[in-house]
Amino acid sequence: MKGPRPTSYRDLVQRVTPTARFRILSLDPYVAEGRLVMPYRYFPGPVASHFFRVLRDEGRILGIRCNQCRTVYVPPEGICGRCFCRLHQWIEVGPEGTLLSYTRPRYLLDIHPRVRPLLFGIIHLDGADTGLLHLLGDVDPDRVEIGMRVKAVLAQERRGGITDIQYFRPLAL
Amino acid sequence: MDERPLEIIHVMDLRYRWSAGPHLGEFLRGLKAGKILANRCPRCGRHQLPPTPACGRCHVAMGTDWVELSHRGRVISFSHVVDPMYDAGIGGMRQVPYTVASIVLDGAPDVAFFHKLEETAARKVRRGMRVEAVFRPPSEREGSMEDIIHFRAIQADEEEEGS
Repeated sequence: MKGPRPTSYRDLVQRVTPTARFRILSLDPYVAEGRLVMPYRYFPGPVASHFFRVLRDEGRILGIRCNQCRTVYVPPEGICGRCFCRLHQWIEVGPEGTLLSYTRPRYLLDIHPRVRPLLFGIIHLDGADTGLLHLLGDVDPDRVEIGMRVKAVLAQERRGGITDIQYFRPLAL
Repeated sequence: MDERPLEIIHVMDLRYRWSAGPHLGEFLRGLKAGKILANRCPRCGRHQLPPTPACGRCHVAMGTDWVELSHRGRVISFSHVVDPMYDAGIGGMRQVPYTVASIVLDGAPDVAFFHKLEETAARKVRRGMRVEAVFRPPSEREGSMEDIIHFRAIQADEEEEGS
């Protein structure tokens, strides 16, 4: 989606360019190519709202800490998965971290992010106890290593969402 | 801490390839040729329109003894759509108003066909109204449900020469 942020659902729907319902590729066997375009609005909940708002407006990545077991969750959770208590202790984490794991998709679909080469990583941000799934960028896919130090690269124009972090790049190039 | 809910806005755009399979494929090829084809269950004999691979009642494979149905039939149920509705298939708002109807075609009283009604037919629609399929010209047909533009109302004096 291009242009300024839509103000309403109707505004959003008008941004989508209508296309033919489907294109028939062959009659015998009968094969058609179709398209499903689904604009939606999503409320991420009070905890993630705060996380995304601080990321968007201040460019800081926050984690949330359980005051009982001291686990720091990034991305933040509303309730501790171990102690089942409500979480409200926000602390700043990152923007640097360690690569816990990564994968390179063997096939590409339209729904994949348009970053090439496409590499997904799980990043253990400094100060956090959990891994954050995100993209790796500015990186030679043959030189990615588990344990590599990485740093968040923030998007220039941030809209409030996980893509406000563009990707994580290796610290030592 | 700002407590207002944050709104994340996103457009999911998925493309897919779809194979109609032998039964529905035959039906869609039939539409391109200007025919409305149904198949029959080898056990209970009922028609399926659009054709299906299996009979939902007898749980046996449907036959391929294709039956060409009449383009004429009668309306058994209908619905006027007036609310603008988002259509994911075209990625935009659907034009309203329009009227859809369940139509029982002559020769297959056991199955109903679902399609749009022509505008003037929609205004005077009632249950039991006689209608006829209006196909696109052969050069514009491509083998889809849209090859039938809509169903139009037929007058009593038209019945003779048509059937």
